[in-house]
Parts: sequence; structure tokens; C-alpha cells
Amino acid sequence: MKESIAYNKWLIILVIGLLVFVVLLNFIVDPLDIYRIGEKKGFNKIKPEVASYSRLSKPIQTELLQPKSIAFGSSRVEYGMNMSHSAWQKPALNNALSGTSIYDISRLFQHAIATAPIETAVIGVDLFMFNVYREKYKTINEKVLATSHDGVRSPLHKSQQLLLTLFSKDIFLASLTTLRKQKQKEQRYTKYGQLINSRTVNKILDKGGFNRIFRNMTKKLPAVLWTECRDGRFSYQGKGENSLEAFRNILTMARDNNVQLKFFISPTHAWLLEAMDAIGLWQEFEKMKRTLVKEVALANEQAGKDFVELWDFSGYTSYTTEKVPVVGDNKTIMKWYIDPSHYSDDLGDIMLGVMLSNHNVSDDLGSMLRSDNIENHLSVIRTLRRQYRQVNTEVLTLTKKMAVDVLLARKKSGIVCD
Amino acid sequence: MLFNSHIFIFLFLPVCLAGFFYLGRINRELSLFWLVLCSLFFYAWWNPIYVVLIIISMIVNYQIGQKISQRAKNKRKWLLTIGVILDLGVIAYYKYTDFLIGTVNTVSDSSFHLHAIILPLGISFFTFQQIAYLVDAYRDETHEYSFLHYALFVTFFPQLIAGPIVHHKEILPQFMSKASGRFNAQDFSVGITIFSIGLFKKIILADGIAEFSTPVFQAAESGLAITFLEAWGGSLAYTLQLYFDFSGYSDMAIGLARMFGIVLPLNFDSPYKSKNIIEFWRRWHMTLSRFLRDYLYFSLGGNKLGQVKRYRNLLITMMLGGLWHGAGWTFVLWGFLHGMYLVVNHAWHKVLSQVGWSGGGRLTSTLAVLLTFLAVMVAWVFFRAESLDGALNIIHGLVGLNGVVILPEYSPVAKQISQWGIPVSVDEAAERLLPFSSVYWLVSLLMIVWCLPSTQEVMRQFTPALNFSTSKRGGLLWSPNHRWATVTALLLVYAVLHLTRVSEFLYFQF
Repeated sequence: MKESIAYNKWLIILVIGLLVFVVLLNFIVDPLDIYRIGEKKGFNKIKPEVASYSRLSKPIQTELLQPKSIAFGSSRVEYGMNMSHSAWQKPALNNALSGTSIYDISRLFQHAIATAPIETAVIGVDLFMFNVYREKYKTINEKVLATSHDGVRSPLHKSQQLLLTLFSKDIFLASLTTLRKQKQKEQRYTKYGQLINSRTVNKILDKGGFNRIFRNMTKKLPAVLWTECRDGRFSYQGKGENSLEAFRNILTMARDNNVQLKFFISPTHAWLLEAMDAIGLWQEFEKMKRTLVKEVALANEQAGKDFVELWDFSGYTSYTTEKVPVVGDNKTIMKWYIDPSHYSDDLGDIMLGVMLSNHNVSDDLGSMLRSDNIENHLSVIRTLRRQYRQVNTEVLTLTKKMAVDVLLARKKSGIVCD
Repeated sequence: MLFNSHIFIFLFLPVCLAGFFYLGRINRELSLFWLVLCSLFFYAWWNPIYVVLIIISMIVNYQIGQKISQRAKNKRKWLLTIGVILDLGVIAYYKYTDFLIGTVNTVSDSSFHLHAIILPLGISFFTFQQIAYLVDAYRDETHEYSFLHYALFVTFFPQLIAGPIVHHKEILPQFMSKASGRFNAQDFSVGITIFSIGLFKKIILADGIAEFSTPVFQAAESGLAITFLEAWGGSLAYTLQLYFDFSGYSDMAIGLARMFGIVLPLNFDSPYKSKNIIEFWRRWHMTLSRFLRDYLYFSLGGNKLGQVKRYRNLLITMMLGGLWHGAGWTFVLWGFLHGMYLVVNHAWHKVLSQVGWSGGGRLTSTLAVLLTFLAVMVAWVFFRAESLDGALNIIHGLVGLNGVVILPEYSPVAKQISQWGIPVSVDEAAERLLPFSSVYWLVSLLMIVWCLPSTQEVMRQFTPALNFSTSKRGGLLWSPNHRWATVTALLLVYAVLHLTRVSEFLYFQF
């Protein structure tokens, strides 16, 4: 019996000791940059692991920073929206997440207005976000959010956040990595949630330059981004989900909480627009724009005020058609793009100036979409597309070949959508 | 509440244990009452409304059990019949209503409304346990005169929602013993060790391998043609996932009960080391096998009515056993397959005894273990798949009907295999569902399954479970010392730090 008593004591001491050690280490090192009790150069100032856990850290940062302005969207917004821009009402937080969906955004928005004094929200929307058949449609651990889907306060969400960020082996490993990697080049995010452009650009140059990343992403993105259905369909509804409903929820929440909303369609590079057309989704893209215009007009009409705007930067402009460096050029840096999907924060700054500071918008950048200009706007883009194709035949060859491969693979191994 | 949750481990369990032992020093009945309250709270955590169901079920069964014990033997049968019909009626309503309506709709092309009834947690377990109690009371093997004790027998939380299915006579005498309610350091150290091993099996091993099985079965359901390597990888992964899930759960249940000084019956005894299917069912979900044998197979006549009826009884028992696991035809098919396996196994044994063969050497044993494992694995495909089409898709993959696809870096291997007449294609999509790293997981877990001793074998000097005996000598042997305490602490802490990834036990849905 004595042995058992000693065994129990030693076991309990060890278990408590180890757990306390892990919790304290996670709290002090703070690898997700969410407690901010102190930073020391060479110890924990650089946070290389934030990127791996942004879906966990960003909702918590919203509560910590209490932003008045907030940006949502995919990694395009994560790269492109500079939260230090003078147009933002401070504090401003970039709450975008890579590969996110409109459902995720609606839940993050709901969380943000429940926990912070949000006055303005800028939301980058893209076609892929509305596809309910994407494998990753719901990607956030909703237990860390302040409200349930129905808007009911979740009393235990704080304790969930503590458990997930302190009592976790993964975060413990992230703490160890943080302690190990303290060189400036390891920092991936700014303090306000934006992905640091220069770090990625340097990596792209190291790996063969912009032409290489443009080719690779134009070949690979269409297969994973827009639809995974075997019959190639694009659906706003299915599997018990309705992505337009999620979009409407955002409008309703903004109206009820007096939040100014600015939606914008991202200025992806012309190569990616060509890829989208090649796999047969151009009409779907136009249909999305028309649908969003209708929804926005209806919301403003019902609210009796223009609290929401929809901007489209996705045409063939001098920005989106920026010349891609030639094969083998691993020195030239593109001004407006990091790759065909992600625009640089230089371009993001111009967009912010237009959307938030009422700078004059030239037709060459984009337009605010309304019911009375949408058809003309779409027609202009189609005309510019024809002109672009006449002088960029090489891009057409690339996207056509990619489309054949993607469509064949999808027919063979895509999922069967209801 | 799940055993593998922070709230259970850090709040519910310590409070429940402290209250039990504190009250046990004052009055044993008080400590038992506390334990019943805790168990009902544990059950209510999932859905409070169903606590009413379990309480009504206990009151009715207790009353019928009382009446059975009071009546003369020849006047008991109708009471037993009523009790069993009531129990089966409840389970039929909650578990099989939609299944029956769905089947009628399919067969008759009708569209009767499905009721979407939520299955009360653990209903299959606590109902079977109470049926066993009624039958035992009928046979004069047990009787209970205190509702509190009866409630404890049914609701004792370590075994409430996923077994083991215990007999009244196994558990109640332990609660009635002098030592009950008194803290015993040895019981606690044995219990927490077994619990920690179980938690580690569940969180690290079962949930770890699940990442490889789930995508394959989901893809099979969506209609994607599952290739040879995907089918084998996915099926093996699920076979191991279920093993460690159930083994882990059983260890946790046994460990938790032991902390209260209660020894539960063994429920899981290294089943994949079985040399045939008969042995497999003596090692897998042992208390369910015991229930089905004692209360169903024997009631049908067992093996006393000749070979043909014996085989019929085996098939009926296993098919109903399949249906117990889930309201779906894939479960019935799984039961049928095991029934057929058992029929073949018994017939084979008969042939062997007729020719006078008394077993082979090591190689024969190894082959027998492998063959049994493969048969079980194939049956699990039907168990896991959501539809017959999904299951057949995987079976097609297993036999190579959907082709063999391997990664480009292994193209020389592809050429070699092609020479044997097997069509192999080379494609980067070979890893679309299963990464190559799954091989390390599969091999490691198979080694654990086949080469390491079971928890009970390691703990064999301290009566780790009822009905457990082993001839094992040497090897890993637990004793309460600092080294084992350190190992246990590391297992427990590592598993606890993994709890932030939420997972549920597979056996909870049955």
C-alpha cells in the first residue's frame, strides 16, 4: 500500500507540474500573439507560427485589439489590405483567412460585432467563397466565437479559447518553434493581421521568380479553387448550406449594428481570369456579380440608407494586366502582384483610398456596382478581355491546356454533387 | 460528457471521487446515492430530457424484477415477457422507427414521413443490461430489494453509455462489500494507470489513424472509384481505428470503475491476435458476445438441435447483433458476414476433428491470425460504410477492380508489377486520399496490435478485470513505482494536451 501511495503522489505531482509548465510556457511565449503580456527581442518577439493558427488567433485578436475597422476575406485580403493605411479608423484589424468561405466570414463578422466596437468593415469577396461544395466550406472552430450561429451568446467561448491556446500540445510545439526561430525573416504577419508582402516576394524570387509562380498557380489553382464537382457545376446551395444566405446574414448584421460595409471583388491578375474562363466559369462569375448587386440594392432599400457598397476591381485594367516577367527572370519584382491570385498592398492602398477616402476612381481601376451600371460594366470587361487576348496568345495557350487537364481529372475523380 | 474531455477529467471526476470517498466515511448508502446522482448528471450533460427516460426505464424494470423475484417460478414467465417486450419496445421506437419507415419507403416506393428521432445515448447498453437483470431474476440468479442499488447498477457512469454490459451479480456485491466507499490507494493507482493508457489509445492512436480512414470512406460514398492502395489503406486504417477506439474506451471504463474500487468485467482482449473467428468473438466486445450467447443464441436452442439449426441460430444471432450496432442494412450485412464466418469456422473445426488434425506449428498460427484479421477487416468495410454502394466501392478497390495507381517516383515498381499482368498506372493523384505517411502509421499500429501485450497483461498482478486470466510470463509488468508513475504521467499529459482536438467515441452511436 505504501508503494501505491508514493506512486499516486509522484504521478499527481508530475501531471500537475507538466501541465503547469506547458500552460505557462504557452502563455509567456505567446506564439499566436494573442496575450501580448511582453515581448523580448531574441526570445519571443518574432512569431513565426501565427500563420499556422490564424483561424484560432484572429478571432481572439479581435477581442484583444477592439478594432473600429476590420477587413475580412481570403488570403488576397490578408496580403493586400494594409491596416496602417491612413483611411482606416484605428484600431484596424485584418481578419482575413486563407481559403475562407462566405460562411466563415459571416461567423467572424458576427463575432466581431459582438465583441468589438466595429464601425467599418471591408470585405473582399471572390467566386470560390460561395461554392458550398468546396471541401473546406466551414473551416473555423466555432467554439472560440462569442456567439452561436443563431446569435445567442456562448458563455463558454472564453474558456474554450484558453483551453485551445494554453492546454494544447500543438501550441506547445508552436512555442518551442517560436523560441527557436527568432530571425526577422521568420515574421509572417504584422501586429494587425496583414501578411507581410516582402517576405513572400523574396521567397518567390528565391524559387525562380514571378514567371514561375504565375505559371504554377495558373495551372494548379483552378483545380482546387472553384469547384470540386464531377459535373463541373458551381452551387450556392447544397449539403444543407446556402452561401447566399450567409451573405444576406452579413448585410442584416451590419444594418442592425450600424456598420458601414464595403464589399469588393478582388483584382486577380488577368492570367487567373483567363483560367476561370477556360474552365467554363466566366458566366458563373458574371452571375455572382449580378446577384450581389441585387442583394446589396435590396438591403440598402430595406434599410432606407446606403450602408453597403459593392466594388468590382476584377476587370482587365492596367493593374490586372501588369506584365509578368519572362521565364528565368528571378530579379524583377512586380509592382501590383505577388502571384496571379494575390495583389500587393500597393494596389490594396489605391483600392482603400477609393473605397474609404472617396478618392476619385478611374475606370481603369474598377467601379462601384449598382443596378443601373452592372450590365454596361460587364460588357466593358468583355471588350477589354478580347483586346487582351489579341496580344497575349501565350497566356491563352497555357490556360487552355490547363483547362483540358483540370476538366479531365475532375470528370475522373471529382466528387458527385447532389 | 465524454471521458476524453477537460470537463470530465479535471472537474467531474475529481469532484465525484472526492464526494464518494468523503460520504463513504460517513455512510455507505450516502456515498452510493452520491454516485447515482453524479452518474445521472453525467448522463444529463448530453441531453437532460433523456434522464427522464432512463429513470422511467429503471423504475419499470426494477418493479418487474421485484415482482418476478416474489412470484413462484411457474408464475413468472409472463412478467418476464412483459418486461422484455417493454424494453425492446423502447429500443425499437428510438432506434429502429426511422429504419423501418425508410425500408418500407424503399420497398414499396412510398414516402412515409421520417421522424428524425434522436437516439438516447447508451440506450442499447442500459436496455440490454436491464433485460439481463430480468432474466437473471427469473432464473433466481439475482434479486435486488433496494431501488438505490438497482439505479447504481444501471447508471454507474464508467459503464453507462458504452459498456461493458455487466451482470447485477458482478457489480452489486462489490458495492456492498465492507471496503466500498473507502479510498484504496492501490485501486486508485491501478485505475488511473489503466485510464491513462486508455485515454492515450483513444486520443493519440485511434484519432490519429482516423485521419487516414475517414477521407477514403467519405470519397467512396461520394462515388469516387477507390483504387487498390486507397482501399487497402483506408480499410486497414479503419480496422485499427475501431480497435484502438474500443480498446481505449474499454480501458478507460475499467480504469474509472477501479478508482471507485470496482472491478469491471473484461470487454476487450487483444482480438486481432485471434486465430479464428470463434476466438475473435470471445475477445471482441466480450460482454456483448456473452449477452448474445446467453440470452439469444441459447434461447434459440444454441447447438442442441443439430448442426443445421445451430448454423441457423448463429446466423440469426449475428444478424441481430449487427442490427443492435446500428439501424441500417449495412450493419445487418456485417452481422450476416460474421454469422457466415462462424458457420464456416464451426464446419471447418468439425472437418478437422473428423480427420484427427490437432493444430499446426507457428507458421500455421501466424497464417490463421492473418486470415482472421483479413476476414474481420473486410467485414468492417460494411460496418463503416454508410451505404451498400459505398461498401462495394471499397471492396472493388480491395480486389483491384478500380485499378492500381502509384506515385511517379515508384514507376520502376509499376513496371515490375505490370510484368505480372496487373495493370498499374502512375499518377501524382495516387496520394489524393492517403498520404504516403499513412504507411508508417499502419505498420506501427499493426506492430502494437500484434507484438505488444494488452493493458490487462501488463497489469496482470493487480486483478485488472473480472474474468481475466493469462498464461503470460515475463515482458512488461506494471508495479507501483516511480518509473511507471513517470510513464503514466507522460501518457496522461500527452493525451490531455491532445484533447483540444475534439473527437467522439465510435461506440457511442450504437
